[in-house]
Amino acid sequence: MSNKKVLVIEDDRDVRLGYHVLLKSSGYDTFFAEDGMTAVTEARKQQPDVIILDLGLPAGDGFVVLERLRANTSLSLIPVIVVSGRDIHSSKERALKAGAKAFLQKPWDDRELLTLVRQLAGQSSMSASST
Amino acid sequence: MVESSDDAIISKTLQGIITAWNHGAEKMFGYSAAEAIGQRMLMLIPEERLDEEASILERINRGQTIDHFETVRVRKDGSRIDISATISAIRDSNGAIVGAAKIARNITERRQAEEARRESEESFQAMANGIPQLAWMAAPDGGIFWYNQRWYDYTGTTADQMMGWGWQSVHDPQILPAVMQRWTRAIAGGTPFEMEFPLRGADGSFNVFLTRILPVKDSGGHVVRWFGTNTDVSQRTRADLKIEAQARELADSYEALERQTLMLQSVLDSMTEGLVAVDEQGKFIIWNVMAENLLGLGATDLPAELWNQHYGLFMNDTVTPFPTEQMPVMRALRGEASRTEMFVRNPQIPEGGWIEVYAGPRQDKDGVIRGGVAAFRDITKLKADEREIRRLNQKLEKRVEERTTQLEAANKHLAGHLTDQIRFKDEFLSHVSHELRSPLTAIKQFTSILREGMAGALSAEQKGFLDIVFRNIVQLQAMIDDLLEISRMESGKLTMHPVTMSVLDAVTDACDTLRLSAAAKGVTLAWDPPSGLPSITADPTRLRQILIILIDNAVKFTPPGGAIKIEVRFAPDDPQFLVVEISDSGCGMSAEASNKVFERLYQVSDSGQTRKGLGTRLIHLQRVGRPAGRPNMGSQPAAGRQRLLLHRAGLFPGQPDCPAAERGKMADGIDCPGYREHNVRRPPAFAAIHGGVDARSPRPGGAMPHAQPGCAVAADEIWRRRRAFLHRGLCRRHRPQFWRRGFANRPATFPSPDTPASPSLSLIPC
Repeated sequence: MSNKKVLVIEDDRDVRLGYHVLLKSSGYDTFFAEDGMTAVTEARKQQPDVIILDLGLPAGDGFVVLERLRANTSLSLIPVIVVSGRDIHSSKERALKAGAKAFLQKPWDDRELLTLVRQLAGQSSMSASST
Repeated sequence: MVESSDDAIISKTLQGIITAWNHGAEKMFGYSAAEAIGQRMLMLIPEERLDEEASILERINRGQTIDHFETVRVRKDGSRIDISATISAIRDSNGAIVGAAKIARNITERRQAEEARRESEESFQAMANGIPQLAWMAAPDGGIFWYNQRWYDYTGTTADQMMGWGWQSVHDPQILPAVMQRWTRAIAGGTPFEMEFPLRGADGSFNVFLTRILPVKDSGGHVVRWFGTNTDVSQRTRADLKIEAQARELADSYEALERQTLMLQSVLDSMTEGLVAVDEQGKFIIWNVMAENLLGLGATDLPAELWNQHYGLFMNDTVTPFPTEQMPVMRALRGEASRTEMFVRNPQIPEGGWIEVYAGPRQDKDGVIRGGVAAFRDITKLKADEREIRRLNQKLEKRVEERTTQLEAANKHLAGHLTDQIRFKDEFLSHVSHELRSPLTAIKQFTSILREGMAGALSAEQKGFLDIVFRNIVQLQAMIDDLLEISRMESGKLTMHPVTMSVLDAVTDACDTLRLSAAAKGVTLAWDPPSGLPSITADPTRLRQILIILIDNAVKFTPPGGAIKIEVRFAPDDPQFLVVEISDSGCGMSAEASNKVFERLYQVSDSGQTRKGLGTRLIHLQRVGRPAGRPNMGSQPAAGRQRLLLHRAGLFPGQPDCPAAERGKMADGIDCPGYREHNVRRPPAFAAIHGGVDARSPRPGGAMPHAQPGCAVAADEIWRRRRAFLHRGLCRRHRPQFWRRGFANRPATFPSPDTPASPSLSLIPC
């Protein structure tokens, strides 16, 4: 059984590395996109089980990325965890409305993140297998 | 000698036989010695005096001498002669009386003179008695020796009483000294005097007498007698007095009138106002100096129609002649009192001047108009001053207007600038908190990676160090959260979503959240959910936040081994509320600190505690409840007690008839969707108050604050100002940042006079 794939769309290199270490140590294959432009391309290419999307991105706001992911048939079912350093009150509701499965405020708690990823990756595979 | 004497010298025997007869006797009686000697003495004695001889002889016989015995004798020719006889005894050699010697002197002439005088006196006295006046005579020294009968009749006195100076007894004692003075002066100078004075009559009443006293002088000019009369002038005097009094009165009146006239004149002339008066016909009867000065002219006999022309009287426009019928004195004659301003310009006052005239009718005591009076003063300067003041006022108003415009512009500019600044600040806060999160995310990630051993095994010491790093990251994260929350509040992005919910579940959840950290500190958390409590209306997220803040607060300030007890019950004095009370055995808050916690950015220093987080934002909602003075918080920190008041579901202190479009909106239009279902405008706000249970009330035993109009206003204002929010990390003592913007100028109020010293924080959603 191949590892679950997680696409992390994050512009901060250090944070990307952090994701990598954390997810890899938990048995996930991680792929990265640094901006909104490459995010969808990468998602289409990798077909990840879970997408972790930072809202603050260069070349395309996270919400735009989220919208495009939802608009793409092949990607619309991939669960997205939105993370943001922005105001949770204004962003969380919007993100969930836009189709995100979860919202995490930066800096998140690793355990919380892993729990979420685990749950969503499971759902994804279940839904994928059911389709 | 005997023979040559003019006196008759006769001797006689004890039988009365003449024995000697000198020449004088011969001449005196007409008998020669030859004729007389041997005759009886009886031949000389008139028939009616015959008994004298026997008496004389009898006395001589006894050895007596009879001196100057005046009697009448008969001469040879039968005529009678007045004689003064001195008869003495003739004794023999043995001393025996043998006869009598008689020396007689003819006193007929003297007698006649005396008679004449007596008669004269008598006739004078008769005359004096006959006159209507009182009359008297006095010796040169003033001693009165005679009064006429009228004197005695009038005074009712006797001659004995009156002799000498007895007359003083009938004088008025008050006036007597003056009388005496005049009388003694007259005596001394021998001059006549005249005086009126009262004399007491027999009936005791006094009548006034005119007394005239004249000296009677001899040829040598010496006063030999005073003659005085007293004429009763009382009748005349009364009439005179009356006339005199009338005359005097008249004179007095005249004098008074003259004085008054003079005074009036001087008053009139010294007045700084002009004063004129007219009679019924409009004729001037008073026109004082100042009137002449002010009008330039004196009183005129011209008819009123010509006055304006004569005196140059004009209306306010200075050119229209003043109408005759509006002249103040003419109005006064019509019974009107008036105040008028006039412009005066005539050849005497070519430059013109302003006068202010006060006029009114002059009435007699029956109210009939007898004329008019007008007083006037120069108001030229006043008018000029008024014009100047008006001019200055206009100038000032213009300047104020200009400055106001400038100020408004500056204010507008400033307001715009301020808004920009505030927006910038909010954006800055938001941005900073956001930007801080990214590096913090990396730090936290890798710290977690290291701590979890993902990058290799760690020694216990290394792990401990990383724990410290991690704890501080968590704290830093909380601070960033705070920053963001503040910026949200400041920018008005805070929203509330009240729903009907169980307070017990909320408390249980909060307790579960904090139970571990409490246990880690060795603090017992006692929560025993009661039964039978109704649901509440609250925003679950906010309520959870607040409960966590309060319980966490209690945990932080309760020393290891302490206990925290959480209870929920009906508010004791208002069943609309449930109260969550969190009691701890911690140190509580000092009165000083409790008074300061609501000062903006106040931090209680406490070296014994560890600083954690950016701080707590407690928005002090001291206007919950009416200000009612400072509470007696006590000076010693007491055990902590925090209260949270919660609305029961369905009970809203709002505006149920709120229009649909406004439902769920706050006064300033901020949306609050959770409240739409309740048809009220005002969403719940969280109010924090400080103190005991009664602190909610404006006074002991009073109603809950939300029930007070002041509270409702406060809640609105609280909400409007985004002040009703508590985030996390609430501290009572050592690291709070209590925000109180917008309330800084109001006195902190903790209306809790009856509450035991138990400083604490309470939160009231209202």
